[in-house]
Amino acid sequence: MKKRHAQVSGGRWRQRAARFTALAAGVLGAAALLVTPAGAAGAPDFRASSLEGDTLQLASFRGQVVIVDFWASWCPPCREQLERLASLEKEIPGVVVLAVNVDTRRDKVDRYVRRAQMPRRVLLDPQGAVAGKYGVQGMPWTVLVDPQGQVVSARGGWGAAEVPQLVAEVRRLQHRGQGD
Amino acid sequence: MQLRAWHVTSARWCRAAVRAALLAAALGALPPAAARGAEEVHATYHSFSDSEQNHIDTWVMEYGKGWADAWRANVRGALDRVYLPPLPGLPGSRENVDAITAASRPVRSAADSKLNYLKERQEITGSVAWAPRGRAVQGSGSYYVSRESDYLAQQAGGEVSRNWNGGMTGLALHTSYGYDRIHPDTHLDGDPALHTRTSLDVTATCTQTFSPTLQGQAGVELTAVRGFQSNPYRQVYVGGAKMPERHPDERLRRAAFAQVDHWFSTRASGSLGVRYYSDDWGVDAGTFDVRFNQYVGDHFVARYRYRYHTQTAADFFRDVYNDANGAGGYQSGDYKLQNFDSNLFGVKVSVPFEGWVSWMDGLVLDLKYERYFDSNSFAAHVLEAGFSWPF
Amino acid sequence: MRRGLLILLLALLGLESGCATVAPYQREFLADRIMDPAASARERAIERHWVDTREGASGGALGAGGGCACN
Repeated sequence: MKKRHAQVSGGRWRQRAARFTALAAGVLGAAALLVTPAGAAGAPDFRASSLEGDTLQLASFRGQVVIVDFWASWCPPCREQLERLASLEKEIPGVVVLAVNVDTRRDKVDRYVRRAQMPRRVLLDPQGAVAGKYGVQGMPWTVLVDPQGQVVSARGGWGAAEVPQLVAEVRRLQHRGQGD
Repeated sequence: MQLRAWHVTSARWCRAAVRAALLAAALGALPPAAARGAEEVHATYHSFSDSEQNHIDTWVMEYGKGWADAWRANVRGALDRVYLPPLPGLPGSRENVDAITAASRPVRSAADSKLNYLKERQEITGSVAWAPRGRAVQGSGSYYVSRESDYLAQQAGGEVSRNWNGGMTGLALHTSYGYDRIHPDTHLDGDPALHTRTSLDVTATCTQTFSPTLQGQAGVELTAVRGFQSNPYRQVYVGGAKMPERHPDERLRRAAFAQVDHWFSTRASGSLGVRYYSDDWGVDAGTFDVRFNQYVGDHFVARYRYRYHTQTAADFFRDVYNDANGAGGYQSGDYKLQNFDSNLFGVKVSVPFEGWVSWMDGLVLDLKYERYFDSNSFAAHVLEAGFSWPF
Repeated sequence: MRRGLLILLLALLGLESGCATVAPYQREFLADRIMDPAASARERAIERHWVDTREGASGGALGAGGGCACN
């Protein structure tokens, strides 16, 4: 009687172990498909008002290389960065530059934009909500996003000597996007 | 009178300076340096007129330029023109001695002492700063030289700073070495010999951001001066006889300072600074400085300022030296070493030029007036006009 | 009075102990020209020159060399 009980109990445990193992394998396998490759993360989507009054959303530019540049009127190095990005926007067709301003006062932005060489699209983030999503660590802060919406790089701006490298990287991402 | 053994005190302070230097070597993140590639010009005219009819005009010009995203060079030049009135008494008289004490000048002859005295001083400082993008460390070096007919001063300095906590905390260590040559102009009395003086300064400053509207700074400073520190034209009556002024050849100066700046929602800012000083000549001093800036309209800024300073006299300073040996072998006619309090009130207005002509954008004009007076019935008007122009 | 200033100095130093995290994009007011330490440093360099000729408690920072006429 005891031997038969032990045989029946051991069998149930083996079945439970097998079912658990199969379930765990299935979950892990599914998770493996969902995990993004190491070193790439999706750019947080956001909506922001532009200077012209319309609302732009990052996701609407999927399929294009996007440069998100965080700047402020009180940040002296930001002016040179904006000029470089404005030139790059003219030089490379199809690249999108979103110049996200974090000033709390709109009149300061208007005054600045009148005098400076600016990219086409200037967005307003007076509360710093978008800057917070992107974990801005300095001013200026430039995020390069590929056509799939993945962040390729995020850094404290690109110096004058580094512009050729940025241009090459943007063209590479554009060609890779076309090949997909 | 007993002077403290400065070498014992300096060893203690040297250890503190080394600890500050090690602390300054901590790693951290650095926000991008400001204004790479930008040029800027600053110019100031400064006028100082006091109650003893002395007058100093100073012109300062400064030019800075950045390049290669990491480097910045600066050149600063200054010209002082010092006007001193005729001396009231005859050469060698007590009246003349006291007048020279107030604003020193060489006296070559009786006729010379009845003339206005004009002296010029030229100064130039060159500096280079290194602040690469994305790096935690910044550095700079400078060289200063000033020249006048009887004085050549040179100073070389360097600074290293590091930031961490996303740029919220910074530590800077500055050191400088100075070498001065004093060759008195021809004069009737006093000390005609050639002298030298050296100084070594170490300053450690910590900067801290407390909130989006509050930041502060604190630090300590140590300066060791060796060599000639008297005035060669000045004489002091000691035991009834005239003798050249004589100060100790060594001086160890220590200071601690702190300042906080706060932004107010009314578009104003307040600054409160305190400095405590002491040295081994027995001078203890405290300085309190408060400033309030207020935007008037969009761009115009008005600033109000009050400064209070109080100090004790040097151990060897006497109003009257009765003993032929002075005070421990030293005698001084230097008003800077006596016991006094001073007050300063001032107002400054800044006028930026924005939206007038594009090439003038960023240009700011400053006008300042301050009134200084102390407990020894000395008073002075300070007037300053200048501009800053980034382009 | 000097003791009072020393106490105030220590109080200001005590502020160093507590602070909130300030992100780089939140430094608008700290970067304003009326909060700019560089501007006041330039002014202080000129002021130090005449203060050194009137008060005996100056420091030895850069540019402190001077001649006899201003003593």
